[in-house]
Amino acid sequence: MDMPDFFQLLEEANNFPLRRAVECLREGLFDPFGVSLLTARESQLNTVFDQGAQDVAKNKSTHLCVCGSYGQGKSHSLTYLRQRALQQGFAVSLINLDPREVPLHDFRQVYRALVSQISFPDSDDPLVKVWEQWTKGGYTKQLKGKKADPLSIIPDNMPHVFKAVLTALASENMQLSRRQKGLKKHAAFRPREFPWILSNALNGNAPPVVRIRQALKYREVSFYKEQSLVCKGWEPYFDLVRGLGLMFQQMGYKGWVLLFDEAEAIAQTRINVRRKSYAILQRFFCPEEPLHGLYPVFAFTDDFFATVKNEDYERVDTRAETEQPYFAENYAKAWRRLNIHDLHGLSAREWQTLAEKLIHVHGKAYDWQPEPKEVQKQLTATLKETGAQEARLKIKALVNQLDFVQQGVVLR
Amino acid sequence: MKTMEELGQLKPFQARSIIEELRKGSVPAQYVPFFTVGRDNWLTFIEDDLANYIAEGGAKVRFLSGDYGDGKTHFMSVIQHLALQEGFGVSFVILTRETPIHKFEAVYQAITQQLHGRFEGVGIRNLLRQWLYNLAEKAEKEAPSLEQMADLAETLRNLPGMNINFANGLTALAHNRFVPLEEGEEQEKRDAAQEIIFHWFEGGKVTKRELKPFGIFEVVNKSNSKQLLNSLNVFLRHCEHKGLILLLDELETVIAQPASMRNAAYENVRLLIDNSEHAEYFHIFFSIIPDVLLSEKGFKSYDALWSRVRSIGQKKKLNYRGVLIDLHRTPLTSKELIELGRCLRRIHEISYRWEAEDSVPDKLVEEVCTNQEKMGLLSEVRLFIKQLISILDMAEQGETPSEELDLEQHIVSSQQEMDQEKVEQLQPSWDQ
Repeated sequence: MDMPDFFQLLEEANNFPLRRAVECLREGLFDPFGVSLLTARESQLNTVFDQGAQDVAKNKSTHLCVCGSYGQGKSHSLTYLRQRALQQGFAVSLINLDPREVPLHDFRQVYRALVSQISFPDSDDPLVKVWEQWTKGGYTKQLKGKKADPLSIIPDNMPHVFKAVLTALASENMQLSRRQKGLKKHAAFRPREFPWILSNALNGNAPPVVRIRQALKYREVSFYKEQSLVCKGWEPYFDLVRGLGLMFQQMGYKGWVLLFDEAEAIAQTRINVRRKSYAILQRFFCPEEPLHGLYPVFAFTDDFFATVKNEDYERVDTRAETEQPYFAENYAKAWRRLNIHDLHGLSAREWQTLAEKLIHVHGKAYDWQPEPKEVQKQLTATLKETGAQEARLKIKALVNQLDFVQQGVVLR
Repeated sequence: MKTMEELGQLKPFQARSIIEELRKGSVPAQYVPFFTVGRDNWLTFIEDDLANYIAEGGAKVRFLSGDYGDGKTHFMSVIQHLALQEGFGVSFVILTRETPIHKFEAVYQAITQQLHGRFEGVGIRNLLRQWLYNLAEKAEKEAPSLEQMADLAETLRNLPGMNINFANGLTALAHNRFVPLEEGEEQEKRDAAQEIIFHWFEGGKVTKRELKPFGIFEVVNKSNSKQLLNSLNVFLRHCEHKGLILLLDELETVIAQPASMRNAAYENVRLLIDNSEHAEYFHIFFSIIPDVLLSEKGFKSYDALWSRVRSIGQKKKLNYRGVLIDLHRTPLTSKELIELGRCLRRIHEISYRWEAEDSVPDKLVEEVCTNQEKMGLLSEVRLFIKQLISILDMAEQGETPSEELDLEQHIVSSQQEMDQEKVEQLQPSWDQ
């Protein structure tokens, strides 16, 4: 962002988001507003991301790997891409993969995280609300004709239970007379509970199947009995993600951008877990069928690819006296041609510009008037002192220096 | 924080409980404002954070670093008082063998049990009771109708960030309290049901079967405890608190744990830091000893955490807004210690109803301080307190400290006592 745009954005900003941006930088984190103010060298990232976006538009499968060491700006880049994707009309989810709470191999947890962090370009509403609005009239722009059926966009390859839940969310409750409500057979008719049971089911929170069944029954979903409503393993949730990508496209969005931060965490898990995670990654990187509307972006450190390269692909798994390869594929070979965007450090001039911007952000965040020239000198010294340190630490050092100057004013 | 005049309003039993706790080497958290001196710079910025950042919707994590005796627990208690004054919910938890940070579900349990806020008593149970009481007051004489109960349930479920189990638990409590007994239903059964729900909110062991009738589908476990903590914060905001302040003391116990537990613990700390990107109205303070930052088994051993906590350059200056509140580098000055000595003397006087100024004059307090400084132990506030209380005790019992009192020897013996207390506190040691 050039300086005039920066000052305009700063001018329009309230004190709190600016303060949150600085507080995050101090902890080595990034918040979206801070990223929009302080991103440098975005043109390369734009080019590589836009290439993938074009592939999505052409219904080709695509992916992107943002690679760099700790503190080099992976999280910052993903946050930046989140904003770019929203601007381009994608639905976007940005999550941190974590071996304990959101491990890739437990794809239900991943799905839950993706849905809880989903954003749409035109509203801050959650998925359930967006879907309800679409079915209650939002579809008219996309689906022409008086008889257009909004439910026709629910993809066939979506797991049965989710097809039923999406249908139910678009339907009204069955009308029962007072007498009928009093009957024992309608004891489960608790219409006020149905919206949250259905929304929790769609959000992957898995309320008891019996409660989902009751909601589907009283929302008159004609086909819910045709198959089991139970989802086991990771595949149904992957299919759900795939289905939603396509569905979003048909709803008029460009697709669904899935941003996975800290994906190197996959390499820290045990081998039996890793092989499952690799199988899931393989579905994203080299899918057998195109992933319509999906644009997965992973942030890795180089260690991850070193682990992939060093796996023992000769290893065999013996089950029922038959030997099978332990890994379904040699991923080191399969992933030789991934779309990788390597992050590089900023130039001295870019650091100077960033430091200048930081002075103004800090000043407005904490409501004080730094003397720009004097403070810039101090920040230049800090940049010199921190030399070739990682970007995260250099930014922390700059914020520290600004804190020192400001606390001198406060404590005077 | 309190003037001598305000100190004079302490009741003898309150003063005595302060002295008893201090004699044992513990901090009487409830009364810290009566004997707090110094640390003004840190507190200026913490107050600013609470009022202008956390209460506005921000979230952050800070580490309070100090050696044994530097006053970490005391300082945390001061923060607790500040936060309560500002209208936050606060929980002060000591991390121990039974409450280790790597088992966050156990920490959640302790957090709910130690919860303070705008309600009578301590613990989530009292918060919930107050909430039910307020609902009853709103409804005045008439119990809320089923329709109103359904509205309440919907409001709770729709609070942004609220977990469905937490919302259903609250709804079940309201039902339990306000829906009239059905024919043949006994009050005892109602009370038992209420107990189960309270117990679940406290993170206690309850079976899924017991919970099912209340629409609670999950027991508290490691994968949902952070979510439930967020829901607790949402509920506190719903109950007109400004947010939640967590004070987690003695994180250093992590260092003595085996590597797997240590890494799990560091991962949890890292997650809590990263959570502050999305969290709102939430501030966590961890207390640590400098070893956690310096030793190889400390944060350094976990890259993802270390890169968030460490800072580079400007080692000599202190950043009062920084991630680290370094108490070790901001010890109390002699003047502040002497002021503390006067506060303690006054509390001792009230406690034992006697006049201490003649037998323990200001000059003696100054000498204790000077000797401690001479021996390079000025920063050890706990040592100073220990010595002074022992001198006051002697004087009150008729042994007027004569001019020949060997203060150096007195320091040594007080320090030995403290070392012994430290060893006892650390027992039993962590499994290796």
